[in-house]
Amino acid sequence: MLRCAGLTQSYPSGNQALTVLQDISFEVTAGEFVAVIGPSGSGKTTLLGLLAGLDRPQAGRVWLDGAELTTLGEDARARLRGAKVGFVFQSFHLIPTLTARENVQVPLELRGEPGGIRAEELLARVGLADRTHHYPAQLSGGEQQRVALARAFSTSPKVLFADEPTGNLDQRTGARIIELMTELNREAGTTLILVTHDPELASRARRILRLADGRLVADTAA
Amino acid sequence: MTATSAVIGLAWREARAARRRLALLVGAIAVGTAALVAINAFTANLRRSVAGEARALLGADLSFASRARFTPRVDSLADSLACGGSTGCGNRATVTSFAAMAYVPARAGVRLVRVTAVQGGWPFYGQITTTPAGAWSTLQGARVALVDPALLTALGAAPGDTLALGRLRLPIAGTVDRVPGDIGIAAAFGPRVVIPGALLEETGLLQFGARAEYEIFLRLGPEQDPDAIAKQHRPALRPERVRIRTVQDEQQSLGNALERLGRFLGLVALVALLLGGLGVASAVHVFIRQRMETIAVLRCIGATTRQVFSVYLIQAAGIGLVGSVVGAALGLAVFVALEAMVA
Repeated sequence: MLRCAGLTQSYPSGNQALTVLQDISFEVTAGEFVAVIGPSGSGKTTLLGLLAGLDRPQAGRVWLDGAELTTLGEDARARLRGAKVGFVFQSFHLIPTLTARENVQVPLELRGEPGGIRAEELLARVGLADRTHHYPAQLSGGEQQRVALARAFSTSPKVLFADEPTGNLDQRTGARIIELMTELNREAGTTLILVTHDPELASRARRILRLADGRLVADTAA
Repeated sequence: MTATSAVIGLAWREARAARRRLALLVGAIAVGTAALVAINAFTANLRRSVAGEARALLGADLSFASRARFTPRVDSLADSLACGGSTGCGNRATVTSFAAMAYVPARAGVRLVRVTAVQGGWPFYGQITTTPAGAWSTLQGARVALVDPALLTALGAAPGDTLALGRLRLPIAGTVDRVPGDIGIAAAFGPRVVIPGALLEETGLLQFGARAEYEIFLRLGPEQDPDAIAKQHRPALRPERVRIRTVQDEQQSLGNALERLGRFLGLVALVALLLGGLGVASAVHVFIRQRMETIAVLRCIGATTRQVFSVYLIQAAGIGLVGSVVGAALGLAVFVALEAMVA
């Protein structure tokens, strides 16, 4: 489903290159729930960006659902994301000028599909049936993240990437979001890659990848 | 729904929430466009009305002017031109003007005046306004004079008083209030006195050495091109010191001045639009910069570069279109208001 081999990424920092990831290789099968953990600066978010095709690695390759991301151009990767990938971010990243319903609709519309009914259904599923015409600024953090979840699932993605999805939420709200996310994940059979530094959250996953200083130091089944 | 209409829909919805900022952009474009439209409409209209009035400025299609009496050759040329058209003869008028002293015996007042002796149906185009109305058309057969209102004021005279010009005595029948193409200031140098051309010799003023301007005005048929005629006869008439003027010449000299005015105003408007454009450009730049996060999210959830670019291109084009249309409407409104003010 998702495979990477020899992923290496570094950024120029002053006169020397700062290596963020070094020689990361692993494979995730369809429907798996994998948590990527590690301290701040260990390269978790960078890894996520490479796996989702947001960025290109300096070395190494990534395959997503049979397609090799590392050989595709910007727009081909964007289309692939639109078709197969969902995202949930720490700071929600809803489009502020669109209503909740429109935010959920956008990924479908970009593919040329009507998204209205599906958006309503998904917002009802995450418990926001009466908030469809609200703008992000009119919603609480938990509500915004639920809209983001609905948006991520609107295209029935094969893989969902979640980057610290509870990082900006209080504990109770965060727990509800995780519950909702795992539920949706089970229902849709989505592969879930969750980046977090919260050990409790990671313990819900069935497999944990531990990063330290840009290296994969442990790959354990929970 | 196709991907294209989705992009248009997204552009519309995405712009909706930023309406106030967009309205500012639209306003900036509208003001610049309005200035340009108003100035262009105004100068175009001015030029059009000059073209429409040019024949009235000359009062004829063609004129011959000379400082001396016309030679028989010029005279017969004018005759043949006047009768050459399909409208028959009678399309020729002679106007002789010179400076003289006018004397009103009843008031014992003397004034330097400009005598204009008119013979024939001049002006062929345009209207001369007189008091009483219609006095101009009955002038030819009568033994009367029409004078500038300024002369009556200056001499304290009234219509009905007798006016002496050389040996000629004529009653003042009324005043000439408006002559097309006449400049008001000319009256200050010598108020106009109009007499029938047939009575000119009776004044006895045009002796050898008298300074007078002789003019022949012609109305041509539609098949006669005044400019071609002028061009054809100019070389032959030059040695005789006869000047030929056409409507085109009049229009040109006036048109040149208007052209320069129009160009200057147009330049001002263009600079205004250019400065406005700079403002708009930086405002759009800021607008897009604020959209960077939105753009990143769109790219993240599957939008291609082309789709994202289209969304903002459509918004910018929409702003430009709405701004221009509003500006054009505003410019026309200003133009109409300006016209009402001038008229």
